Amino acid sequence: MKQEQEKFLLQNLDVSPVNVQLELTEACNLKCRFCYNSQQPILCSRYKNIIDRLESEKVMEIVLTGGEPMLHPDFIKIVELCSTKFIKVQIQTNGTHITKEMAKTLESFQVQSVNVSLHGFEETNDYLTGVKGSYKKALDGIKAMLSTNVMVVSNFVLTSKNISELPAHIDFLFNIGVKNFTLTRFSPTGVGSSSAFLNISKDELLLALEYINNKQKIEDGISFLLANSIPRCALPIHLYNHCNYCHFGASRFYIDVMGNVLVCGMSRVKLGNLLEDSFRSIKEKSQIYKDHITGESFPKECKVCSDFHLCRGGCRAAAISVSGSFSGPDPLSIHVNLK
Amino acid sequence: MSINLTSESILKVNSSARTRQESFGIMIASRTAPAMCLNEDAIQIWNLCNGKNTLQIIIDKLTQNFPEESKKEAEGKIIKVVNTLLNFNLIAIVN
Repeated sequence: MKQEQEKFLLQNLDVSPVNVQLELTEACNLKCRFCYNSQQPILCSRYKNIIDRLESEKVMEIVLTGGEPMLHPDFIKIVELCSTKFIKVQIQTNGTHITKEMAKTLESFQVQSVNVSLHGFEETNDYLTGVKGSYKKALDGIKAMLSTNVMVVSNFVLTSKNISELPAHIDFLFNIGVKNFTLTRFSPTGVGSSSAFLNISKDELLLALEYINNKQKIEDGISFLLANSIPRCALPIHLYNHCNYCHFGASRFYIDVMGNVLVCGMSRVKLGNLLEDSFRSIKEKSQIYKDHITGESFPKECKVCSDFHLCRGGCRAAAISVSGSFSGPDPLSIHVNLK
Repeated sequence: MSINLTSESILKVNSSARTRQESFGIMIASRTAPAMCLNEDAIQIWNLCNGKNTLQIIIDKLTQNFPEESKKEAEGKIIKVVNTLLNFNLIAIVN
């Protein structure tokens, strides 16, 4: 290992994560065709131990996720506990369990943001979620959250079935008061691994990014966050503002229901277990982590690219979904067809 | 300089801001601000936002040992950091 890489690795070993996603359950009342999770009824039973560990490791932000996190029988208790231990508590949900009462409860615990997934208008959304009526319930959930002071975010998974609705859908949500959006590029992992037909083309993605840029020019206060990084080589110059490297596996991690520390929820690449080890120890023992941080586990074409530090090869979950390897190329990369 | 910030503004760290010691400096965040890192220079500014010092006092204290020709540049950098902290509500003007 080069001296520079070794120094960088040592610096990272000592830094606790800033942000951790905690999976409270793999269960969900929806059956989203693109879901990266298993949707099996597996609960996080040792959440107290995990949360205590995260607090002692000085993690600053926690994201409660799933499955559908509100299906955990202790969900409210967990939110309350987290609100006393972390600077920011965020929730990722399908929104179908957010009543007015739930919204007020989340506000009372000073939850920083609630990200409700909605993937187009009623027919499209309910097709993608596999449950009729889910659109209406999620929209009611969004409206309930908008009546509080909690930041409301809406997540849209970009698929071949809904991408044409993106502009009208965003307009609709913006007009009812949603200002913050996350866009997730579908990668066929988990349940979604049997739905490769939902993949979007690179051209479709670029059109979506063009739309975002134009929307941000005309609407004051609207913000978009891309959930997955995009390789810089996939972008034309005027869309370089969407190039960012992924922080998962470095300053952000995903903790599954069993306490396993994963690089991210979509890749499901395991580094260790937080119920057995500290983050420092997990990182020190994991060759996957070390190679990820030092840049060793990336396609050779990416490693020698002068822009590597800007995108770090794009999304690792997308790479796994296509190549089966954590060190494979992001399918949007220009290197994807190289042998 | 932001609209409300003047050399006489008294600056104070908001009580909601939290810090975490790191080998490279400190990391700060609040419920409304993203986590960000402060290097040793920015930490000095942070520590001087104690509810007593004005922006001018902070600038004078931090640039007192600078050669005259570098003071203006340093002042600009201090104001930039202060404005960033103000924009994220990590510090506030208390007068």
